[in-house]
Amino acid sequence: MADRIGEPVLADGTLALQAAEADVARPTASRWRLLRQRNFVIGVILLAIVVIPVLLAPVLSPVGPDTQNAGATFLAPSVTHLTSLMGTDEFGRSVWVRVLYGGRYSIGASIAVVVIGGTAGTALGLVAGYLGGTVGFLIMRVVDLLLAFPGILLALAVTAILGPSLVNAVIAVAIVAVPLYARIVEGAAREIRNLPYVRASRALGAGPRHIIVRHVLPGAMPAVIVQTTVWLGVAVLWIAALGFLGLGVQPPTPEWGQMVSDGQASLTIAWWVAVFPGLFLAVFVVGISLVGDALRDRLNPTAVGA
Amino acid sequence: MFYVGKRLLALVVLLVAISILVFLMLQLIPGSPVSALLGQSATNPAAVARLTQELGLNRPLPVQYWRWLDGVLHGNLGYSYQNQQPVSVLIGQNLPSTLALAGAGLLISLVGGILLGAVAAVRRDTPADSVTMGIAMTLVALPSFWLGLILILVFAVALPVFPVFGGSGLRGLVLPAFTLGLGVLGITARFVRSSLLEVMDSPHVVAARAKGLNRRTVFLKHIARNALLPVVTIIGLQIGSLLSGAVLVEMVFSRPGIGRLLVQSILNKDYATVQATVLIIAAFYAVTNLVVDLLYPVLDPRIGGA
Repeated sequence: MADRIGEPVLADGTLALQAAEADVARPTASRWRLLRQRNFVIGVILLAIVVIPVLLAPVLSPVGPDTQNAGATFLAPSVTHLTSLMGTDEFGRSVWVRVLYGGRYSIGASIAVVVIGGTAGTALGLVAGYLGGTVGFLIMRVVDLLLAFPGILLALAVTAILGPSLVNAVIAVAIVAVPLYARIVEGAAREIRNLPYVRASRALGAGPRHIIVRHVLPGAMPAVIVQTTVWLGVAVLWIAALGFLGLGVQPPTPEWGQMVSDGQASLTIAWWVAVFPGLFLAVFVVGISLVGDALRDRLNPTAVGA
Repeated sequence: MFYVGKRLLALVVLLVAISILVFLMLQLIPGSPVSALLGQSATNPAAVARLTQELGLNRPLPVQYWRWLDGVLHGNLGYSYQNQQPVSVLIGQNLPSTLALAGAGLLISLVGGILLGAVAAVRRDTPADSVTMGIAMTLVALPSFWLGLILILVFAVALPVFPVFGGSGLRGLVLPAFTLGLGVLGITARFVRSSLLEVMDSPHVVAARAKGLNRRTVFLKHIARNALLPVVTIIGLQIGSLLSGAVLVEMVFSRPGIGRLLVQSILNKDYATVQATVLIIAAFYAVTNLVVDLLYPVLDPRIGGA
């Protein structure tokens, strides 16, 4: 073999081709699955690190999120007291406590986003995909139009109309999510509508509402679940972005993005005020992405992993 | 040619639809459009009467739209009463800075993304692959406004290499451009990796290896050439992310630009500027996407004619 390496072997081409192929082909499928499983576990651990303390906020907080302490402003992080575990801010409020309570707003708001945007988008996608025709065409053209805006621009435009507040930020980000859900569900619904069992059901006299709820929706569900996991991460980032810009949660309510913005003013003298809320946000989003990727492979094996 | 004509027509339709949506934005704001546009000056009855006349607000909505569009097409984007300046002047002042930022960000994301993706693909299924893809995923998940602050802490506060905020010229551009570029880099890296892997398994690469060509030549001439072409297609997608990201990055670094102009206008309820900036960014996004789409068949003759 050794003398053949490095020279084009035409006479024994098949052997060389096989060797080359063996070099390229790897047992990727099973290794990939293992890798995904590992990523899923890492993702769940990261999520647990963030979500469990956030859920246990009242138990883990020695003081309230708005409790000020004029004698303890800008304390550096220290492990001696739970209150100053992550230091204190300009009003002497505990960053640790505010990060925990802030997570309730950030994560809660992003759950609201996927519930509102996901439901509306799924409903529109089901109607457009199953009924088709003029109604479907019109719905999908509006969806296309909304998708023509870079995401955050649409959210900013909506907050400009509604005014800055947490509820309006949720509505704004939900509106961005609607066309994305609608497009995915519409594709799925259009495929399912012509499957034999759906046609059989129609032949038996089932109405569109029955078919959509009993047959089309369950078929579209895996896509919706994957989209929801991805969007939980996106939504929490965008709610935080709007909060950071001053267009979401208004102070003194703690929310991760708004807290980062708060801490920016004192960045050079007290880095911890801005760094810790952002760190929790980042860990949460990385965890969600890992879980979402694994779910996508699991529920939608035909999708090409980008 | 027919393909180009069709795409251009679709762009015109899209731009008209975007303009209608942006026009209607002003109607959706609570209160009359005149008071929204005038802001503080709305208490002046003379100004109200003049603007009502100017906008033709006593005419039907389609006529109002036509007048507004006519103005926009002639470069009249409205007047910012808060800034006492025509909006077109404000946008003209801020646009170059955003374009420089987005351009530098795009460059960083492409160079870094291709390098990272190539390492992952060449070392497929090794720890190097996991590590680079882990980095790529983390970069996508990091909130850009937080990443910006971390970069400031490290490279402006701890190691005073770059200015903390603002800063003009190239030195002031480095940290904002990296903040923006690193976020988008992860997407590029993942795309490059899967694109490379696809080509690596194709028969012509196997044949090239079988001929005994060395790995370097095979990679550069047979793999990279074919695999990097599709990367052009995601530039269109990235322009959206870059524009969205620029809004946050400009706010973090207090950097003048169209994104900061938009956010400040929203906070100041300067609706004329909000309307014009949203229109400009959306139109820019639509046009650049078309350019990228049209560029692709030019770069890859196999796609042409379709």
